[in-house]
Amino acid sequence: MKMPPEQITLEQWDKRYPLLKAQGLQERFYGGPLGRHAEYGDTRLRSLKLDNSPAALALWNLLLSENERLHRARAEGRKIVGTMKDLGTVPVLADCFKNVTAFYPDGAWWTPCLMEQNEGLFESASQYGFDESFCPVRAMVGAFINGEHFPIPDALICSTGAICDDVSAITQKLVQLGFAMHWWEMPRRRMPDEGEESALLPCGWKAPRVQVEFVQAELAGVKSVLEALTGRQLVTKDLRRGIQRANGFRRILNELRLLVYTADPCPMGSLEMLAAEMLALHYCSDYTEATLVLEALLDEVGERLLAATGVLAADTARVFWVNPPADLRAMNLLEECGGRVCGTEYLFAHTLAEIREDIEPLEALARTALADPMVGSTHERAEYICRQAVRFGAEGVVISRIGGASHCAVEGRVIGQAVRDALEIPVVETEIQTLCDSADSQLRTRLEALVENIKQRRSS
Amino acid sequence: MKTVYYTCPFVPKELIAACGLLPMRSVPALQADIRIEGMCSYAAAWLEELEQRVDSGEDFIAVFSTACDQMRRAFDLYHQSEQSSFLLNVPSMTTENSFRYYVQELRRLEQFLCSISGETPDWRRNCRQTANKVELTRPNKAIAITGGPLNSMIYKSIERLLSEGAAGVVFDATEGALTPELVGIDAAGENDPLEAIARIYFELPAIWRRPNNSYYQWMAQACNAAGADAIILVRHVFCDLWHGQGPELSKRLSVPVLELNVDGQGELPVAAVSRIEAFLEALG
Repeated sequence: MKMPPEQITLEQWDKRYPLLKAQGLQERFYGGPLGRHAEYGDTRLRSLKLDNSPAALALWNLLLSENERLHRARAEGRKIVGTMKDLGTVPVLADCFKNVTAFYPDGAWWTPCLMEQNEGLFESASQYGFDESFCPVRAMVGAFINGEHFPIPDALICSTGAICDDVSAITQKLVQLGFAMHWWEMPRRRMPDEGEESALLPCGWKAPRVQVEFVQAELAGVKSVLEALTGRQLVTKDLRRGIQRANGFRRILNELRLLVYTADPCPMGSLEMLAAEMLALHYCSDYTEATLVLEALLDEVGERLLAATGVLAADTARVFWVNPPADLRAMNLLEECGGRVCGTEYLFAHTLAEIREDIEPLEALARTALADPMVGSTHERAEYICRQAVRFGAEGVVISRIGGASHCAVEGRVIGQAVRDALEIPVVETEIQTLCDSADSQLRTRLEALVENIKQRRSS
Repeated sequence: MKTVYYTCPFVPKELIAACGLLPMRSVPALQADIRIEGMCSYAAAWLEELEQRVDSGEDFIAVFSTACDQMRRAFDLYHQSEQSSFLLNVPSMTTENSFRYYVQELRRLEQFLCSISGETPDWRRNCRQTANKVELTRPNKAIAITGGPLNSMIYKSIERLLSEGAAGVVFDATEGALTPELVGIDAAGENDPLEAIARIYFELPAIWRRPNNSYYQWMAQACNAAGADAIILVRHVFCDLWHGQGPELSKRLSVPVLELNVDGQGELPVAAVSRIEAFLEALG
């Protein structure tokens, strides 16, 4: 029997799982009870409220089985490629090769959160000079050193140039520790000068054509690296196919986002939506499975919309969320405080946008890479956030600061001011630590104040 | 003549001069009032210096660079004030593709500066670089200094402490001191003066280059030539690019390395003073 939508604890999930199985729940090869992930070390799950649908179960199982699936892919003879920093572009290229599995080692930044810092990655990073003045991405150093998480990739590809100083410093260290790296240069995106030939980018931005050509040449270098790794030359037809696959995935995700972020009551919690959005970066190392998971989520949301049900009360305060939170629990916390997420900019807006299919594929990818909100001016990102907040009817904005991140200090101030000036809605800028428990009451107070402010503005 | 202020060693002063403007490389005093949690104290001090110039009514141009994320973001803050400013994209890599891009960026800078000065580039206005070699008496303990740019107050404090410990700076490789060796180059005589200058500047060593091997090769040669017994690495709080490299410096250069933090105050922090004293004692 189908249960009404609800957010439940891990303990409740573990009671629910055998019932679902008894009712004939079909799962993929990475399926199973969620409790096993906590037993293996992802203990943060015990502090989270999770959606009770089989679709959400599959989502979490896909996400939390990634390292295991990567090891399996290695055992099956697939080439494992670690792509870093560009957040979404190189994996599209890698996906064009039949025997390549790409993933983001930088994704290890959530491991200390999931494992509640019992895995020692930060301590290990500190031994190499990466203390708490760096953002949580420093966990990646520990993961490379101990090799206990993801398999050490056959190739590492990292963008450099207009990236954060944290990743720049850390990837340089990885090279010094003996991990070979192919860097490619990403220039800081700028507005075209007067009279300069320009190109339209995803997200509505523009860049000078010389920048597109420059990045296109850099991506051609990345393509060569992958060709050398696989011993296979990539032809234009393959590239077009990879872009079409990426766009197919992005269309489903965008449909899901539109439905969830605009429906009332909210049909899916912000935690699952965060996880779903993250799938776009590299399909969680498996395009087919990630697509199935996303389709199942979309079906679930569709059913809930038809039944006019959701996981939160109707009319909750609509909040636009900026930057991924270092602690997943923060998303639950917002909902506990009476808010809901109605739109996001998790630093990869360019990966949600469709890639042009009517131009030369590498140029299309270059345009997408250049649309990365991190490589342009903070003002452009702020303006984009304002547009999206309006689009989704946001009544307030949370800017989730990432402790130690080189971009966050200035960004928060500029974005916050832009939102206040342009939209005249309340903004909360707050640092979210890897485990926000110690700051829980302060964070809760700030989120509650935001929600109260929103509700007062409604009644005034 | 308008002054062009800049901090990055990759901004060629010869180009600024060729455009009929006065190049002034700034090393701002580290007494930043701009307190933004997580912002590099040097970038904050540079912004503050510029704000003070604006407040005093000075008409000037500021050139920022993309060498690090913090300065890139500082430009975003400064740019809000609509002062004449330019962000020079300095590539992190040293490939030919990146070099061509750097040249393009310098041509944009040239165009920007000439649009302000109303002049056409004249490379005979070039700042004549002369070798500024000072014969140093080698101290008992020869110290090389590297890291982020230092203002004169901090630099003098370090010099004084070293001198008290029978040591001295034999080689200054901080970012603020880096300048290319242009002796013998006659830009005006080149077919493409800008590209000729760009080639030289592009080869400057920098910790933020990816990969940054050339910095270590250059540093090793320079330390060797100067007979450095030890290195002091000074970094600004929240400068990730230097922070991540302290242990590597010790490993590559096989001499003792002292890492010092400067935190945005005008003088050396007390802890830094004690650390220098202890370091010198340990050197013997």
